[in-house]
Amino acid sequence: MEILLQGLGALFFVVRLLLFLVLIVLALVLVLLLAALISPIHYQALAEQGEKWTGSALVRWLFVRAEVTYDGDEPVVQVKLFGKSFSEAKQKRAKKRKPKRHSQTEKKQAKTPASPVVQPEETTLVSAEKPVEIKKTEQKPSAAAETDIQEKEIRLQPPAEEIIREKPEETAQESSRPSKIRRVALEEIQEKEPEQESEISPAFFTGENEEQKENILWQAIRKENLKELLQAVFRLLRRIFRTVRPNDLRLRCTVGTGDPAMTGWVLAAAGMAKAKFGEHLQVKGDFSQATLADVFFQVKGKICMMTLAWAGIAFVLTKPVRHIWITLWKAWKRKE
Amino acid sequence: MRLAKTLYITQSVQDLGTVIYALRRNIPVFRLWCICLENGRLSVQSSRSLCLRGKDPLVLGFGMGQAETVEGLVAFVEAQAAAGADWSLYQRDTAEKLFCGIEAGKEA
Repeated sequence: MEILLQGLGALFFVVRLLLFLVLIVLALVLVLLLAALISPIHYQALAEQGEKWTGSALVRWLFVRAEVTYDGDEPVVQVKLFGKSFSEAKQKRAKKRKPKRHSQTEKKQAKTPASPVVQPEETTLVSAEKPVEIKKTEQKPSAAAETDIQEKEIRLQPPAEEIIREKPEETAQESSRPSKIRRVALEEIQEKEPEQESEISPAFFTGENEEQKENILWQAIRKENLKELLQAVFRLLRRIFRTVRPNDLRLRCTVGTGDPAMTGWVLAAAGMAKAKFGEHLQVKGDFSQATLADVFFQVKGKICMMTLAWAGIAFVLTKPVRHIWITLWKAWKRKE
Repeated sequence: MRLAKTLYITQSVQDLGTVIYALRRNIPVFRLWCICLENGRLSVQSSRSLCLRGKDPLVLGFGMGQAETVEGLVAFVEAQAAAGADWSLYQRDTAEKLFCGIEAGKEA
């Protein structure tokens, strides 16, 4: 009896341990999920026009950081995970590989000088108006040499179109004109009514069977109150815009489109944006020429995934949208 | 639109029946240009301009694209010159008789 009790105790202990482990794992997953949802994605971009265009863009989320910088020469991408850079490791690997690549390019360069020697032959062959066959009869080489020459000629011969281009224009026109233009008696031509497109079914014009073939999604949308649906869509878009909208936007530039009226439109749009984003927008107009000068642009912001998720869930649970996806679900079930 | 008895047609024009059907009913054909004779003057005009602007020239031929149709016009002039054409007959009344074989004012 005691042994049985001891065995049961051990079993309970193991089960408890397992449950505890599962709980820990679940808690970790939950924490990670919450961290992913709560912690915002920071973004930042900067562009400036001095002697050269320079700029940088940065995205940071949890332990990941990606940055692109441009100093006017080449953009540099840097990705860091837990503070460790991937690009550094790549550069180290590239440094190790570089000597090999160099040797390969040297080999290629060693091979290439042969081509310029061949090219003049090519041009002479093309520019010579006499056909290749005449050459063969004049030279009359041995059988082996002849096959070599034939191979060379095949290799060097350009496509037929190119040969035609090399011909003088006048002769080409004279030869082509009679073949291009034909004289046709009007009586010989039989009038033909153009065929109607067969892709469009008669139902498209009559509208009889069209409802049956109509997309289920469209049917579901049509059943709902369109006003409510549009309101839900606009609400979703507004929420997304609010989440993505930058906290700090600075723009200083002189703009000219070349057309004074268009420049005026641009400045008016900039004025509207100024009302939204504050005094940091300083756009000047140049009505005399098309230009973009003295540019300084900076944008900073953060996107909270939780807010985006909330916007999505709220949209999906709105009455018309809910009805639509329930209809779609039922249709899908019926098909199965 | 009035069409000549013998038409100068360039190589690219494939479906002659449909083109004639369209031209007779003043329906513009995409990329189709016509060799026209109007008031003793030869010209190359797009089928769109002919159909939509209500012009009524004598069509001597047609081709796909302007450049190709100009070639057709040149071929026409060369052929006429080789045949010893009298250019004074290219006025409206005489031209219809010359190319369509009908008297002035009568339908073909």
